[in-house]
Amino acid sequence: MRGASVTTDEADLSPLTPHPTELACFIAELERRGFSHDEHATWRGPRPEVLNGIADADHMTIIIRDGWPYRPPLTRVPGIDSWHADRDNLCLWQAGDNSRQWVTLDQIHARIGEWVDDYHRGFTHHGVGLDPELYLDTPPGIFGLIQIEEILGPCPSNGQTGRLAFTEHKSPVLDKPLEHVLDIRDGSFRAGDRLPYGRQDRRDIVARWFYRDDVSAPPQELDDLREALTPDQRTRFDKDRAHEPSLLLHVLFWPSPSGIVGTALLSGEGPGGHSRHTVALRPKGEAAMLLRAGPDADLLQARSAVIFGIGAIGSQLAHLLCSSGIGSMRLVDADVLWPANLIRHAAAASTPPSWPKTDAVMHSLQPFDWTDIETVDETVWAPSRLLELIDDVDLVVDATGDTAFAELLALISQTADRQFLTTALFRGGAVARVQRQAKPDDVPIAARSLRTGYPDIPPLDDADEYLPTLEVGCVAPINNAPPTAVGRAAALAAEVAIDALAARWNYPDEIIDVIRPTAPPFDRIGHVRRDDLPTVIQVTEEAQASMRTAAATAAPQETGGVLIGLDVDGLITIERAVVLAPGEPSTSRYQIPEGAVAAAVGAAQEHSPQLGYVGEFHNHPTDAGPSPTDRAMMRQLAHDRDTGTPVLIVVRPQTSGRPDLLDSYVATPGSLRSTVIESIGPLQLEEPG
Amino acid sequence: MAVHELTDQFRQAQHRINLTERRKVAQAAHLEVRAVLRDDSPLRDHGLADRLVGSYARGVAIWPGKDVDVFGLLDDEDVDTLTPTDAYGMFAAALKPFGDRVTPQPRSFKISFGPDVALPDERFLREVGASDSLVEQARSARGPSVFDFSVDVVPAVHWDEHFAIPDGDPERWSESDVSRRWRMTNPMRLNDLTTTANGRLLVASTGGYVPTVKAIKQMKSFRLPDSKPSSLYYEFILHEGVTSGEVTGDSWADLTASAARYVADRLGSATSDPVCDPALGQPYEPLPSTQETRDAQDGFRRCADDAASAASASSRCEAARPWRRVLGANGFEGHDSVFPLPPGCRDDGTEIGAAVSANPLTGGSRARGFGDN
Repeated sequence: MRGASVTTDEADLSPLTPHPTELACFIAELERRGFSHDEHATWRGPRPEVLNGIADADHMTIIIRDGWPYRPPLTRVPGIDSWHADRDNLCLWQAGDNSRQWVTLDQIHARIGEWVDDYHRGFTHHGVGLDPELYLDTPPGIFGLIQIEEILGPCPSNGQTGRLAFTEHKSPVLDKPLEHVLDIRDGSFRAGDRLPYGRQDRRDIVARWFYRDDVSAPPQELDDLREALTPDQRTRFDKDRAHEPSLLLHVLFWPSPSGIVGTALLSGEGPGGHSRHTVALRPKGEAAMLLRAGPDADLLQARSAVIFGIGAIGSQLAHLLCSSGIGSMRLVDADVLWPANLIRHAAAASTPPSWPKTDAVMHSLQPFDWTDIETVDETVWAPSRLLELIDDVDLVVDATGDTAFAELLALISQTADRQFLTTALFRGGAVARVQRQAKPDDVPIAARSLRTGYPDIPPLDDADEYLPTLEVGCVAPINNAPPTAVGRAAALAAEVAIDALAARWNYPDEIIDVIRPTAPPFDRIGHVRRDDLPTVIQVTEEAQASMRTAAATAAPQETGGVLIGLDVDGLITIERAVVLAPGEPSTSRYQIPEGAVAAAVGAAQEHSPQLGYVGEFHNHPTDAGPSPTDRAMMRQLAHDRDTGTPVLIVVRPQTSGRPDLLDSYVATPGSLRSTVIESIGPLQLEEPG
Repeated sequence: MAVHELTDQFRQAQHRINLTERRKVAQAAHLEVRAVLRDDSPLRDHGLADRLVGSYARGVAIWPGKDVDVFGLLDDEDVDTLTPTDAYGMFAAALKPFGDRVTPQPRSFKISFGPDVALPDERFLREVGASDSLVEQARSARGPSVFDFSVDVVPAVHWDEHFAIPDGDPERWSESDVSRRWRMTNPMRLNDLTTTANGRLLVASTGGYVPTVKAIKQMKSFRLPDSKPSSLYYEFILHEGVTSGEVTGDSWADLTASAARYVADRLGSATSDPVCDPALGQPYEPLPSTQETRDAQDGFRRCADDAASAASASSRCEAARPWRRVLGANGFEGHDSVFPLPPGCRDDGTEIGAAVSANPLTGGSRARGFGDN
């Protein structure tokens, strides 16, 4: 098929791409510009002139890979003279590049032009050299786990050389050595060391590293590595090779824009019987892991936390804080794990039944040895003991899901001046909440209410909120939240915890996150905002009783009246409800004659000049909200200067002996918005004169 | 000693627990039933001397009110001269004028009253001193003092120095063993003991026992609705605590907290040390089960804990909050809480601020029209 032309009519391009028409256009462009089909998905044609002097061949190939155009083609130029090429493949686009600047030949040429510019300036951009083994002429078949900083120390000097020891990595999970993964460490082999690949004599193995600070390009073959060495290092290198050891490992380290990197070559019979291997170095150890722990890892190393409740959320949170780099954690929980718990727990699925939750989490966090973990297998309610457990930490976290305990711990933390946060899931896992009491102006958790912008999250019925379980008696019911909700609550709590430990205070003191829409105001996915919350109005108990009594006396007929009050603390406040007998008795209408409302307000002002009109109320014979007539009436009133933004309360009868519902709204010219009533005691008002 | 005694709020709470005018409606219903019973010559021939007993007689009935107990004592009879079968049969015949308002029970008869059934006749209401307003409520069958209740008439005879009512299982009524045919009781003695206890336990020169019994009954009604044992069991516990001097207090707050704690603690030992009927000196029957006792103890422990937290609260608003949890709600005249909020307090225990703005809105003169649901 070499040189054969493939036209769009002949080719079924759908295995390559979901956009065969566009790909056919691209291929047609290649063919117009001198490319011919070489073999499967490979087109060969003239290379751009900008590669003159860099590449030997006068042609290039473009290999269209599965997933085009979401994945760039490979551009291969034989004999390319650059280390920043994967053998003949130009390294034009990094993995993950989604620019799609490769769907025309002009775009490919333009990118090659940029590559050539970099070639002449020297490839210095970040990311180059992260995987230097890619540039070697032998594909890597072995991986080496290594702590470069442990081997080189903090300040390696140019020309420095040292010995290494290595063996196959033995995974505790597989319980056998992995022949393609080496553990490489500083120093010589010692008596008793397990030797690699079944070797018996440590004197027959040589492993050495070299450090150079002026390597301009990654070695592509053994000779390049040798050439990069100082004369002394090269002598050492040659002697090692002349010794003809059974296994010879040479590693060249050098600084790249991304940090110190290394190229390693292993000679001698290893896995698969091969005698020469490129060893791809992979970092291991605390520093390497903390590199991926996020930007706060260094700061968190000096911070500590105590987590109460190592259940589903608590265990996931412990993992996140630990993997983010926290220096020490105390885990408090007296409970043990059973197989069914593991579905939402961060402990390993192989955790033995009846293991304490704290121990199971500590065990699973063993690889992250930068965190000192202390376990406390106690149920703690005594304030004195709680004080002991929070005394030496920066952050106190409650993840018990027990509201009463959270309140107690918040109070104790406030007393001890400790940063505190609590996290829990509500409504069967539909809503997650994180409350923080850490910053000086955070509202104390005990003082939070809807009035100040902190809504309660009412539970579902027990059947929906909790799992049916065989566990009966005094044990806490088991929440029905799914693992995804647990993970989200834990991640949110971890973000807030780190934000507080870093004193960034980017988060507010309370976040309610709706994971699945449920009843208002939790009916919109995402964080609940102040605007989502219903307005709070204050109503005296006497006013409420007056409305209910009037309704009970009149039922099934309708009655109602006027709401009188004032503004207290910026809240609409109803002091009294004055019943105004209807114009005529009816079971479907309630009408107030002209002038009756103003007269009632005037009479109230004789008790206190501070009082004025607030709104209207009436009862319904059935449990129904405002009718279209009610809404229209309130919209009219909302336009009047004498009525402001009036309140409407509809008294709705309830069944099962429950008190009548006071269904309340605030009217504006454009809407009738639901409100929440907060009961208050009698108001102390100014008297006339 | 409670830091904030909230005396005014306790008095209002006691008012909301009380039956107020409903008590007169119940008394009038008793008189109406009595009139029917006394019209019956066989009952008169056996020395009918009916008495109002139970919580109404002792003054410990609580809102919303329920059964009115009438003790149908046949003064000329004792357990050896009359069988339960004969006594029951005589009352069944005598109550026939009430027609289908009578519901036979295993050993008694319920006569229904209520706005949808029938309310006591005006002459009986006048006889117990009902106000014009109450009479009007009864006439129109509408208002806060007309309610659904029943008069429960139980036949009774003498048994030594006490009294007897038929055993709850009619199949035993023909047995030879008197203690299986009849059940000993002495409601009149219990009335006396209540009066005595109320005179001994004073709060600001007012009898403290009866209001505290009502408070405990309200806690039971709210926390443990429709559960066994009945509220009489808790009344017996409280009587025990008062007569032993373990339930004390100089204020309503302290006395109520002391009573709740005593009941909670006593329930903890009730399985091994049964609670006794103080009128008979015998254990309360039927004995509550272990689970019933445990549930009751759990409920009252929470009440006692709340009451204790109220006692140490730093402000009257904070103190009111747990008391509202303790006494709960009973639907009294449109109130959704028995314990009222003190002036200037919010439901969440905080104080209303001082930022008060006068309201200039007049409401305008426009006529209003709502409805057409």
